[in-house]
Amino acid sequence: MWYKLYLLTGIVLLAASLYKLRQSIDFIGKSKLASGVVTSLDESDGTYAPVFTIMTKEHGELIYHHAAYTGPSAWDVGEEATFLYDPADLRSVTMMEYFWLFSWAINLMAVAIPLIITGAGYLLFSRLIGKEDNRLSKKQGIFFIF
Amino acid sequence: MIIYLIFIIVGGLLLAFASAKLMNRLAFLRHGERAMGTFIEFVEQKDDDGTFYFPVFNIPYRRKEIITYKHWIGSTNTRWQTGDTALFIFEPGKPETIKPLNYRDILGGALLLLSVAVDLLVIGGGYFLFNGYFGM
Repeated sequence: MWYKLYLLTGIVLLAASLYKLRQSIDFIGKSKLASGVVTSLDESDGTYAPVFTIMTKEHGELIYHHAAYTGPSAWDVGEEATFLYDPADLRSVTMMEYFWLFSWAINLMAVAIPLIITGAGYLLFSRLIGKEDNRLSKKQGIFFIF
Repeated sequence: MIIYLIFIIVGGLLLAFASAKLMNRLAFLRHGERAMGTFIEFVEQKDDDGTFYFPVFNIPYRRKEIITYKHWIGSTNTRWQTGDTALFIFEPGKPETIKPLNYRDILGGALLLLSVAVDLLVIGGGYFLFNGYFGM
């Protein structure tokens, strides 16, 4: 029962991941490149996240607060990075790096894969051991889960 | 970045290891001999988090022999009762290979490794696909 739920949840998350992947690819397709410079560091409990000022040709300066806080700071004021933004939505600024462009797709996929494998593995196991023994093993499975 | 290369290498090694283990376990499942064991007692082990109880089973083997098996996971509660039965599986002629016949004990470890391997390969592989397409 639980493992069937794993499989189902995994498939839903996989679908969500592919949807997000598609969105990210669309975003890359319609976005423009711009370079940004670290102008200050945000501090929170001894960890730091860079704040970038991004110069764009048509839309002036954009401010981007990076989501990753690290201590000590991974960025120094003055360092540069490349960004992508959708001209129709200036809040869509994203650092042009694999992890930041595809973060939703990656995280959803990372959860979906183990759920699908353990869920599908259970179905395989049940078929291999046969109906009668499966009933018995299910009963004791409850005892063996702590 | 170097981290994604490490993902691919570690993922590949884990995949090889997990597949071998999985094939092994599937063959075990197909050819193993099944036997019904009876719960005998709990072995107590105390540590910092409290007392853990490990169930011990007796499984009849051949005509007069008995295999005694202690499960590797202990629990804080004593859910098994005297007379409870559980299904076991072992390679014919090799009683030392005995394991409880349930999903977690037979395939759990191999599939956990496989999950981690596929995760690493997909995420690491995605990075190199992305690099290939967008030439970063």
